[in-house]
Amino acid sequence: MRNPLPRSCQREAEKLFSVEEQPKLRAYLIDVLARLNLTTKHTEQMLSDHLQALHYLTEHGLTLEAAMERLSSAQLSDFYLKERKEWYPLDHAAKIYPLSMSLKRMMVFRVSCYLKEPVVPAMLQMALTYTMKRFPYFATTIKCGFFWHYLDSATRRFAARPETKLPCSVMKLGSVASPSFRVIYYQNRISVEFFHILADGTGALIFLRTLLKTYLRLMGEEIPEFQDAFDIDGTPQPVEWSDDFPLCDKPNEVHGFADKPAMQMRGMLPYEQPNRVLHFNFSTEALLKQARSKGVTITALLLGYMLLACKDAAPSHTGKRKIQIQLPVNMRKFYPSTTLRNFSMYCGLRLLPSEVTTLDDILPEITRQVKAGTAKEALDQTMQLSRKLVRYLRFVPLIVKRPIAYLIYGFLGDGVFTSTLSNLGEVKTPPEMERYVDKFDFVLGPPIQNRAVCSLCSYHDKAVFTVVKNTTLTAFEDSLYRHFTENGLTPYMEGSD
Amino acid sequence: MPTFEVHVTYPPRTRHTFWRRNARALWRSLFLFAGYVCLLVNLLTGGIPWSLIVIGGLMVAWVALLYRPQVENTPIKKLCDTLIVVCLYLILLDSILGSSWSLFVVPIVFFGDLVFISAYFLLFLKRQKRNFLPLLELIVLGLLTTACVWAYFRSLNWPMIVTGSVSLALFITMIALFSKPLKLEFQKKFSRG
Repeated sequence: MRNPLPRSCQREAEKLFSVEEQPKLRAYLIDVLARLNLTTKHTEQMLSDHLQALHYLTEHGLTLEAAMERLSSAQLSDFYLKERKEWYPLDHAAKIYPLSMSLKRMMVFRVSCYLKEPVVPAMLQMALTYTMKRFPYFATTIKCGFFWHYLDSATRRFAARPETKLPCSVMKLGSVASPSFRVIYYQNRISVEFFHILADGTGALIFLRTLLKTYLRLMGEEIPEFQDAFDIDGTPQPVEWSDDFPLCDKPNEVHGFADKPAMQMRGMLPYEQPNRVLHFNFSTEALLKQARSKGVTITALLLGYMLLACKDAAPSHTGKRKIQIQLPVNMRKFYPSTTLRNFSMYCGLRLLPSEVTTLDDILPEITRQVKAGTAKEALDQTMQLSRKLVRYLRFVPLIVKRPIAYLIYGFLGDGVFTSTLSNLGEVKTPPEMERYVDKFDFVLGPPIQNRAVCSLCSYHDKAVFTVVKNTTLTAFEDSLYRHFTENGLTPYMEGSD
Repeated sequence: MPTFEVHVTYPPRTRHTFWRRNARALWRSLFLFAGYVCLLVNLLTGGIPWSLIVIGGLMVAWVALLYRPQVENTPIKKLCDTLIVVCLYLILLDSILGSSWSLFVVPIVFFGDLVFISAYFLLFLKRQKRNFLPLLELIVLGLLTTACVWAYFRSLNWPMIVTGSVSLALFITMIALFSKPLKLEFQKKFSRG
């Protein structure tokens, strides 16, 4: 009887396992093959993934039968078998991103988890293979429509790759089924990078936690289901990919994104972006203690430090230009949304460099502006403008919209802000996962004109404040470090070279 | 000022040379420069507009060899775009050099390429199934061009007849084989949501 398995798979099986194990292995792989309807290349890779994972488990104490049970083909379900016909229009926020992207510029962000042990690539790959079926909305590729881009489902193998490029580098989206996200690993870190059309930080974190849970289970750990991650055997719900912008109230007044150009920090913009990524590792308790002692939130406290550093890094003549910091706000705290997609708005914090004196002096003004800017009514007005823009532009063909949006974004882009602070908040996992996870971090993609953007997330007592630099001039981070240390916060520094 | 030591937690970078990092921009600049210089020399020296021929050729070379759309950079789209640009170039050549051969040559090039692209599409049907819109656009273009030539000249030469026939045959085949996926693809492509 003709062997249905590809030759490469048979050779690999013979290389990794003994002769006695071949019949069981063959039966197992045929079972896996029966659940795949992919291209030849992806089918061979999937079979190889299973072999590598089985080999890892058997080398680490499991019998072949136990390994095959842990990597049961039933976990593939019919996700890789049936051709999926779903497609998804982009949400209101996501519509702008493909219009403004180029071969060197793309809105990508990254969420990472640091484990206490090095990542096992074979098991991570299997975890990703199993996790994808719970996130069909992420198993898509971007396509051009006549009026807007859209996401078309893609049946393919999604690969977990070793990290080789700069964080948040541009993704190649041109092939038939190119994914709009990537899963990469380096030493003990698992990172997921998303093109912003797919999800915001909240959606990305849910995916990462689900992936992590699946990975740890495949490694043999008992991890229960928990609220902030999906059950991979559960049924995906349409609310997970709904565009929830229409949920928001519709105020009569609108205000928007246009603003005066902001002060930009000193330093030339290099070819390679980002130029550097720096992580300021703090004790969450220490940050919280200092924030409470000053009567502010952690976000306001860090905004204060950022303003001081922006002022130190400012050019000598700023004229009337203000230091303007963009602050994304998660709209899920105002509306009952469970979408993984973009559902956040932005507000701005504005101060003249001359007004930035000392930390204690500026904190009250920061608190006042943040409170006003993050109020539901103000955000609803910006959201309403966003909805109106999409409505007005929906009859304009993409071929007309795209070059205009590209030019506008190139000229204005992030020029109305000096920097950004995106706070993902506290990341929670169940106690059973805590002994395997060290910390999380969150990296924004390189900006266009801004010299630095910042982000924050915390996991238990580890808060990671990340700075993505777009210039070799170190004025901003040097000033940040100085202000932190002068105020009793001494961060442990990690980052790229 | 206190300095800090950064513990490196990212892999070492592979730094590409300046030429490799900026290859596309450099080629684009070279093409643009060649186009501008030819146009300038032609304007200054006068005579037949040969610079348009050069510029047209540069555009064909750019689309065929270097242009890479970020989204939907599929072989079928590339072939369709190249075919359209080659046909337009042949029409340009004919309009400059005269003698009206394009009415004969362009349909031959068009239907020949259309048959090739269709064969490619059917050969790799599983993978290319959702990429048939560029091909459909070409087929519709073939039908429309045949109809317009017939309306204007009231007669068709044999290349035009073959173009129209091939386009019609492929159109009917597409509708017959892919009516449901075609309907869905139209919904996706023309969604205003």
